[in-house]
Amino acid sequence: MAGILLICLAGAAVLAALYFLIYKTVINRRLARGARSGRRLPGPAAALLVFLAAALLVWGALAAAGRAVNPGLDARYADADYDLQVWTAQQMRETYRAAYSADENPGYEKTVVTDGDVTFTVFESDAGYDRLHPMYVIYAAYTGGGAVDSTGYAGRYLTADGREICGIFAAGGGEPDEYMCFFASAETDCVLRAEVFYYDRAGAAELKGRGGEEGATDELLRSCAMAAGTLELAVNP
Amino acid sequence: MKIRVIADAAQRAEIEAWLREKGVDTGDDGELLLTCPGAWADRLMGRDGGNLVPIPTAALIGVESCGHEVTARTADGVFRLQERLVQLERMLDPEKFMRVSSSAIIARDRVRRITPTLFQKFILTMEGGWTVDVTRSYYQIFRDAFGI
Repeated sequence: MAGILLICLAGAAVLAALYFLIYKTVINRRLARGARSGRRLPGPAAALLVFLAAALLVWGALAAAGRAVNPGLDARYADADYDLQVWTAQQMRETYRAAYSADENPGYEKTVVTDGDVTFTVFESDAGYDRLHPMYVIYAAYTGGGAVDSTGYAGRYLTADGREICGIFAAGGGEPDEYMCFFASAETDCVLRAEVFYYDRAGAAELKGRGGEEGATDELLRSCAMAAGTLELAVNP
Repeated sequence: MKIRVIADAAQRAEIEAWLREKGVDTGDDGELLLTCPGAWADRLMGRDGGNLVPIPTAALIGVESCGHEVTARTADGVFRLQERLVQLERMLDPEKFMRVSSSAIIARDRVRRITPTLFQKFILTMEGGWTVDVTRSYYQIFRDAFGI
């Protein structure tokens, strides 16, 4: 929008310059004719103000039209707090997070979801949204038989109609471990999408090579992975 | 004491004659002005070096004040005047002359070019190339007078 504003202002400046030339020509023609009456033209300063006001109106209209075509996030999404962290099993064991378990967590309801060779063990807090504790603790484990060389993940919060609010991801290079654990909390109704990727040696090399050229897109992550799993949860704090 | 009479030719002659009868000296170089209502000066007295030169107002392009000095511009040159600008404004016919700033009076029919600016000011190019600014205080008056 800043670019469009500059264009509108530049247009106003050009029009003002043109008007200035026309004004100067008209008044000197009247002077040469000796005319002392006739329709008075607005001065250059007044014309410039009018052109600037018109430029701002045009820009406002374009901004409104742009917003209608591509609306931003509702305030309830934009103003809410979100938390999303991903830890390996080793990182979990080394800190206070060792208190959490893949088997049972008091105050959390457990469900298990499978997607291909990935099993998600989902713990949802009975207390809902709480700034101090995660609403969701999700353990993602590879249950296939392949040799995992490295891992990757992506975690996103989405609106009800699928637009991304915020997220994190690590394309690859993660050390393979027993599981990856997502800690997630969101202050407003939304959708949490957790994805994990497992790469064998060839996939990891391909990801490294193509990622440098194409950028780390979701499609690339999935295409290079020997196994991937996706979990979507409706978040209701 | 010397009095300068501002009036049309016939009136001036009569008034000067009466003043001289009363023992009052008159002349174009008088320090005191006696102005008749509705009458405008038809000439000014300027100095060119040490010489006193009559300047017909019809030949005036404009009058300019700079510091303590007031000068009259004509096609024949620039002459120092003894009157102050505010006095000249009262002496000169407003149909033919107008003040455009705190330091200049111009002859309306001697303007050759008007250059507008963005800041409520005009730059006038007068006959002979002299440029003078119409300042913000006189901007609307000038526009009204010239219909622009």
